[in-house]
Amino acid sequence: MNKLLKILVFTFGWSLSVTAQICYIQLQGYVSDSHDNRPMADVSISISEIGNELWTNAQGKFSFTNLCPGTYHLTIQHVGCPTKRMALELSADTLVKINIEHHENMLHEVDVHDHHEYAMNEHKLGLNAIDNNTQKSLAATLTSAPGVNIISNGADIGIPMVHGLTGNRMTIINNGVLHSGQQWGIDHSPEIDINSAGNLTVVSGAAAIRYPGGHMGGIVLLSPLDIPYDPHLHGKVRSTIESNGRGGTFNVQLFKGLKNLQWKVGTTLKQQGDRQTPEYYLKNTGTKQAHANAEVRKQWGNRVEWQGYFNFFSANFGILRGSHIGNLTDLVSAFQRQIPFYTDSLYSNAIQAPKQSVQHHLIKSTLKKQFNSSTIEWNIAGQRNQRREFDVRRSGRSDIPALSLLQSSLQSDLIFKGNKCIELGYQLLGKNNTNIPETGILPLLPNFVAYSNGIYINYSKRLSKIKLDFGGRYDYTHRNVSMLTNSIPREVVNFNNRFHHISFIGRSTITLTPKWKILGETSFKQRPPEINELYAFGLHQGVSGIEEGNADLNQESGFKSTLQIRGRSGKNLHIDIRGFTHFLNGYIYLQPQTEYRLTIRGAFPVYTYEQCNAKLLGADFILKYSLGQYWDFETNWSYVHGTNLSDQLPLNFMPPLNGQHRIKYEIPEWKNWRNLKVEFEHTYTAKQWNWDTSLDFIAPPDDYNLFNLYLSSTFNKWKLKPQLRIGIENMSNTIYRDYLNRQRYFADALGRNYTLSWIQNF
Amino acid sequence: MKKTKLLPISLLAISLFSCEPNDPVDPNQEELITTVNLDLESNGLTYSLNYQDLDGDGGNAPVITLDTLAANSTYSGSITLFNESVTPAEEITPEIFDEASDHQFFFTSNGTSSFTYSDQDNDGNPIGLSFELTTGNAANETFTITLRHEPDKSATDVSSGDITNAGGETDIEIALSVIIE
Repeated sequence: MNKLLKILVFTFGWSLSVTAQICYIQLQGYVSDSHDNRPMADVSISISEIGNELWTNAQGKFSFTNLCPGTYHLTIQHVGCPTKRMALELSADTLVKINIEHHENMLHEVDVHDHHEYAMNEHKLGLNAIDNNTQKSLAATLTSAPGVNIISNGADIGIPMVHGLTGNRMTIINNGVLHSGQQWGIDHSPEIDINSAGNLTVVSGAAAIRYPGGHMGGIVLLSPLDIPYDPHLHGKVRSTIESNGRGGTFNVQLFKGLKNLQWKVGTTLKQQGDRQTPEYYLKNTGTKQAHANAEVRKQWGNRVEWQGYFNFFSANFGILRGSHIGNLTDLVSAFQRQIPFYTDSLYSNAIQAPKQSVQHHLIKSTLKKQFNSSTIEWNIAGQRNQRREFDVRRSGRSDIPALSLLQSSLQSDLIFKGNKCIELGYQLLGKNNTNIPETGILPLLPNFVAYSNGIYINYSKRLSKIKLDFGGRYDYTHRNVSMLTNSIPREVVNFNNRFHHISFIGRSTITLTPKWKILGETSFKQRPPEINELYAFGLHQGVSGIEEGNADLNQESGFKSTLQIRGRSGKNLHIDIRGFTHFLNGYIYLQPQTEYRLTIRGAFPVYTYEQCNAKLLGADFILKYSLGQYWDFETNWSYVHGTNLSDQLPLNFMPPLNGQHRIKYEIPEWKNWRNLKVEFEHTYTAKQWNWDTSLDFIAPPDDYNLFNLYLSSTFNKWKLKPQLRIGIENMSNTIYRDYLNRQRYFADALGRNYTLSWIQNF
Repeated sequence: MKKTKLLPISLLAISLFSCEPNDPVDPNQEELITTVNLDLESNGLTYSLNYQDLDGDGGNAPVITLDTLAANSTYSGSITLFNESVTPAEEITPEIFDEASDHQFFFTSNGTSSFTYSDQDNDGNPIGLSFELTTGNAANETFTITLRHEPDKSATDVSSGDITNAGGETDIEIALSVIIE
């Protein structure tokens, strides 16, 4: 069997046997669970060309007879599995073996595979998770993964936080490329549309030694959709409408998978107006977005593959009007308001200042060549990121950005993978960040050019029950910085930064029994201070104050140890427990100064970057239980406790204790409906007790409970088999504020939201 | 053949780069207010209260020059605003006047002096570019002068000069320690 084709066909394996007949062709099949090869009974198999539906028997077998030669499309549906589609060219009697991924969200991999893509200390969200969160931001989608929180500014702007670390300490890898935007701002959402991805993986160790970036905490990997083999043009439409914000999201994708050439194009449009708390509208919290992506893969023989990838992201984000403040007096009076200033009694979908307008382009080329037991891969990628932020200004200047940055970046990788146990790589990163002189305001950040050269090695060794991984990485970062002085007359001053930084990792995965595994991991990583930490100067609305960099900062070093145990008891109970300690030497944080800065606009809080030694202690706990064929229960809890060891004080902006519980009931069919699923979800977020009063304006908000309900199914009566999903989020219309959402200083979080989604494969 | 296809992409990506960053451009900060002048007139005599901060946020401390005022007197006053960081200096007062309904000055004193508005926007609400100051008994008083952008002028007591419910963003907030004798 063609090895490459096997990859393309993904979880389907197929084989043919030949005896020529015309319109007497028999198609026989066998369906099994991809995890343990058990036969799967009661799986619905339908052929759209003949409109016929069959069910597999107890042995997992099915059979269609009297078919004419030609191409047929099979739809495979089963409770607990994502709907699968495959194309077959029939010219003779054929036997098909179909593997389906049963209960894809369960932790079956313990006794199945152990390849890198779904290892311990990682959490993967598949296509189902993306289908169900089409309208959400990347960060909001990832919060269903244990240990992942979101640091946000309103409903659409959010950055994922992994094990308490985010911003410059969080790396996003989009299709192998280090996402390069303005990560320094906690109000800067990553410029990525989740609908462009096929799956999302959160790696919480510093394990990802092969990726450049400052990920002290974790990384998020986005992988493109696998394009299944099918000689015809196919596609998918995902659309969602929401009551809160009265908006909608529409995504369409077209793809075609030939034997040596696969391509895909997709686009997403999204519009939302003012969101609503249970009691009032949040003025100017809408968004308008348009994204596009394209991918081409071409193979020459079995050994050479080229991938081209293009991604475009464009978004306008409104920022709550009442959160845009002048000086300290404004800030204090905004905090004292029950309802924010400028709250309107009418809904509006206009986006005015304050707002952000962001465009991001990514273009990438990958060439892979396979040798007998090794692979060489060469990537080159370019990105262009334009960010313009608009404040409320006088005399029509609200249309002139108050911050306007253009960043171009370049990445080139050369990777050698030898015989599964060794991997070597070289990476070159370049970045040019320039202020566009249109703002009429002194820039917050200087202009700079940064280069980084990195090499890494990964080595794995498998003993009988132990798998050992070791990795090391060295990077040299060089930056040339050009900034304006704060004093008059203004002058241009230049700085040169040079940093050598290293990372190490050691990990052992021990298979205790076929059902239980234990992982121990220790890692060391250094991160040079970023440009904003060194040189920022000016009023930053994202922190409601004047932010000042500190040119004397040293590198930050982290030492993280993780212990994880994962396994299952019987057929139905799955447990995953993970604990970690993370010591950070020279942890860089924003320290408010005791004296306010007096200006003609009044007093402003001043923040400067300082360093301390910090300790993060955290744990994730996941338990899943299946009761019979129809019921699934899941609970997961996460907590991170941060301490500033230098001053024996709490570290602020760490996620409070939070838990999610899900109850799912799914039946294979009811009348014309297939895979009818009811999900009830409860999330609990505790009050953050561990905080330092000198680092925050107001106390953390109280704990809260949210309840969500979803009903989804596939309507089988129509040939197109549309999948529908109805959701009610924050069912009880609870009034709450979230500690990690900056909007909590000014307004309540979102109230009840009804969603209706329609997913159509064609 | 594959490599020749990729070459233009590589070259394009590399050509975006140079090793030196672009020099930042000193922005023309035309929106900046550096100078607030309060001109007071009483019985044919003029007095002035001036606040000037040329380098914006941070840097050097502001220069404040204040005339001594007489107790228990009434002054008619006006405010002029300048941006003196640009050459020639630009007067900002017309910008405020042109957007009168989006701006309002608020005056407070920690002593017995009081302020009243002597101007109105098109909606009949006060602006504060013209005002009347009545000084109290001899004392050292601090006058706080605030300019709010996009306040809610119809909120309770805002049009009578109470800043509490005004909202909006602060464009100016200065404290002047005035000697009244």
